[in-house]
Amino acid sequence: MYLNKKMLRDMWKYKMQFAAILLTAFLSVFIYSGIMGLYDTMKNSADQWLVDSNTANIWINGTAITDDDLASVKKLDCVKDTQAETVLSASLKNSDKDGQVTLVVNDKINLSQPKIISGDKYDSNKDGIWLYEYFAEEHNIKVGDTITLTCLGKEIKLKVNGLILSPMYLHYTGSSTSLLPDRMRYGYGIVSEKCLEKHLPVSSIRNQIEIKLDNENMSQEDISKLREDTEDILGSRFSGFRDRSDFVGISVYYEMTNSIKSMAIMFSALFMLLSLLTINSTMQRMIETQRTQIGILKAMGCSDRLIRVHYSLYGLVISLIGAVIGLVAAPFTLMKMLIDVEKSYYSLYEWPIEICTSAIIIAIAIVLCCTLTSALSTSSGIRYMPAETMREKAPKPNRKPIVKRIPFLWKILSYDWQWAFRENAKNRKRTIIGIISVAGSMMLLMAGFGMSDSLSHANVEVYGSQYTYGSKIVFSQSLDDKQKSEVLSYADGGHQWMWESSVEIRVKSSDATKNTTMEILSDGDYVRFLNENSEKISLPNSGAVVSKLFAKNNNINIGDTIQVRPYGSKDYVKLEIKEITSNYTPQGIFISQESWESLDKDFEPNTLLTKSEKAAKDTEDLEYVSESVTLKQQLSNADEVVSSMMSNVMALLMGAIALCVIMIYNLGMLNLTENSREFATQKVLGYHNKEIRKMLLRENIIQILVGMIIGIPIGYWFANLYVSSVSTSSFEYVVYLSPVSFILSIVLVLICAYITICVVSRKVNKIDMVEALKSVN
Amino acid sequence: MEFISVKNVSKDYKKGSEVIHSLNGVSVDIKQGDFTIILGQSGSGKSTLLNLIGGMDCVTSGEIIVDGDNISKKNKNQLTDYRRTDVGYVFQFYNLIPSLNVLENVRLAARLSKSPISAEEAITAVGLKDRMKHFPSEMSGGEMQRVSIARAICKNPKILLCDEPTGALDSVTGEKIWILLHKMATQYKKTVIAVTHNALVAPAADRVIQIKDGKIISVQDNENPVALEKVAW
Repeated sequence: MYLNKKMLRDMWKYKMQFAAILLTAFLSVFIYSGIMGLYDTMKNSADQWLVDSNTANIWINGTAITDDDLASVKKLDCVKDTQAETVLSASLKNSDKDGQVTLVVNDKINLSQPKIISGDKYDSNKDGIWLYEYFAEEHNIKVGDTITLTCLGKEIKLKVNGLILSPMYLHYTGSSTSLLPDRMRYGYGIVSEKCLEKHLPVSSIRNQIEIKLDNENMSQEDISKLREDTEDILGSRFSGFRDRSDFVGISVYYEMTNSIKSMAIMFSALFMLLSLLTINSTMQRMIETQRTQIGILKAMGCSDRLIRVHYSLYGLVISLIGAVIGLVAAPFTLMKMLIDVEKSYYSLYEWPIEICTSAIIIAIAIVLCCTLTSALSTSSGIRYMPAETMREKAPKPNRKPIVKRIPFLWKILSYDWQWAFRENAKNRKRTIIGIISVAGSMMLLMAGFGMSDSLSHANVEVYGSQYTYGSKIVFSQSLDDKQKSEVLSYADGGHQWMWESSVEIRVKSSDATKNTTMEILSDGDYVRFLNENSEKISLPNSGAVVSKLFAKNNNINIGDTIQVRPYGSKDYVKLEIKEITSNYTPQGIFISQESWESLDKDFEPNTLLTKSEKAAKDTEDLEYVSESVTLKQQLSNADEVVSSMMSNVMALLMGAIALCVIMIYNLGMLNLTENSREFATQKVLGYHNKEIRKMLLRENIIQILVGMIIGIPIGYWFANLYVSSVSTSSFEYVVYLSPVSFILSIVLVLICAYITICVVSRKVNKIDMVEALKSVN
Repeated sequence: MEFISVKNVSKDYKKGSEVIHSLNGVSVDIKQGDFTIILGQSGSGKSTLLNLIGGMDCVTSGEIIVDGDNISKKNKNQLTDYRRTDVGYVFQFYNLIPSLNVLENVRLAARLSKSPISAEEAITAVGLKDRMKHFPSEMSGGEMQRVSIARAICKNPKILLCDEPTGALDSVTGEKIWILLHKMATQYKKTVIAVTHNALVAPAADRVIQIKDGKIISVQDNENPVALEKVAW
């Protein structure tokens, strides 16, 4: 009872030290719980949704799919359920901004059932569309409104029956080359077959089969077998096979959640390290100051166990308070904030906010560690007889500063700098914590700026240097000669044909197949390829060029031969790899028209690149044109997406600044509390407050400089890790940090650290000489 | 004219709602070059008087004039300058900086003065020539107090203030410290004011001031002070 009272009063007396422990325990649990909670929410909600909505495992693309095809597929081994649908592209004419809508036409939705967010339940007998909620929001479309779409060259008016989110499109970009969603530009909607037939002069044009498997975790061989079987059924009408790991609407989402998980671990490892160091050094010193009191308690007859429990409680109570606050506060603050950011990229219908279980384990670990440190620190006091414990412990021998070991350097240092180095050597743990904090802040800042710079740089590279066309016109079908010459009539000044398609590849002798993108290009120079030394290369007359990330992922080297099979073709063709290009996107195989035709294959381009910018506008209404866009539009869209990433960057910058300010403030206050007697002595000797403050500043400058020197290479490494974590199978991001951002990172750390030290060191003025020097205790 | 003149000085401290009158209208004069002892029991106000003369604290009322300079009118910055140039302080608990060795501890003070005595000379004078590179943790209490005296004297201050300089030492060491203090004051011609509750030193002082309950109860001048070595310890 009295011991508890003593504990509470001691806590008040040593409030600075306890605040330091509480704050670091809080921070590490808070950050882990916030980021890991986000991962848990994203992973679990999506997992659950995919189960609840009976989402497909396999998507097969083809043409003119019939009921018989569907029945045959359903009969295959391991297929539980199937569903056929038509996927069409339509464009929305809107007064503000146009948009592209992917129409999924379906009567019976057993698989991948969308969540109705508002409006009516899906009813195939009802005329109208169920539209992607976020797209509708961006275009200010409400349930009951009528929208005008242009589909297959015909304008149709559809009433919006409801707003939906589809589990197939957890991550929806609408375009294979864009990394992040543009909800104003791309959306999707579901309409019934009856409705389509009513508005459009087409009968069944089903082009996609969804398959639900008996066993979710089927082996790769079984999946290959399924692919072969479905291909047999569809024959030449087969054009694609994707499982969840290829289906970007789902795969990118899971890739991202995994990168969030590694972020959670990376970020909290930093804070955890700082937290454990702070707790350990502070608790140890705190209990050392209680040595005499431990002696008194022993002299009074308290058992060693009681004393140990008493002091262990100090660590337990304070770290428990910090950890619990962190655990409880994180979901409603940090996690909520992060969820708000993620909501703009991913489409889950609910984002539950919960305390994640692994965070509870981390919190318990921190509390245990803190309690254990207290218990162990007490041992040095209770080991001896009371009389010995009550005597003041002989101070530890002084540690030589590292610089002192270089006599030449030590001699040229002024007295003030020698003092600063000595203080750092004396408080080794505190110095290490300071250095790690500064290095950590530097690391976070460089990662934040690095991310923003790398994305912008990638945009400039891709849309400013890699591609040099004026317009890109994509066709919805193969063009006949008449159509080709019609579209070419708009291409003043030059053009280049491109055939972009999905292919299946086999690498070396392996039987395993993979999907990737292949671009076949006619003569022209609107697409530039660079090798790894940034030298320009041209597509060879035989063989192919592959992209760097694709080559790395598939262990392909120059000189290797890969087998490629376009969808719908029975045979594989062999291609020798002549070069590896460092282009960011797309990732895959690049072939010249000449090389392709030398394999006795037809060149059926589906894209035209033109020099003229006007061509995009001129061709947009042609019925076989599905998308026409200028390079400038592509760059500005990509830049818009990057600017929307700024909130992530801001979060990192805030984290960096918070880390820098909180840790330096904490360490500064500990320094002042622990050394108040020395500062008071200096004051009595006649040192001005200003001079003592300068000494404190010098002491910190050493930590800041060393922290920066260590932080810069780690920052580069971390930024690289962070940037490559957003790379997908189609877009490789490479870390790029502009000189301005680099200098800004340094300046920000310096300014934050300097202001914090100034604020802390002002407290020197308040040290009362008389009080501080009254007695040793 | 007196070197130090304390005129009707009072010092009050607030502790919660209670006001403690630590000094109550104290007036006393000290001559230049004198060895002055302030005697009194714990809580009598003797350390408070010393702190006020040393510019470590401000008077509540009254004034203190040191060498014609009214220090009770000085602001905090001016008081720091005063401590820097005019005052050397010897503490009961030495207050050395643990991370600095003897030489560095003394230099810490010497570098503040415009006309310092060299640190090496001061350390040699207190008999620690061979221990200049030693750290406080490697020294005895008596040795640490010698360093403290060297540190105070090396600034070449006008006055040397000693707050219970032997309070934490055994009697034999204590005696040696008193003798050293006296020797140093004579050698470097310093005005010394020492606070103690050890009345045995009194016969060796030029002037003995006794304080009780915040008031001076006697001021006694010794025409012929006894040499400290001859005091009956």
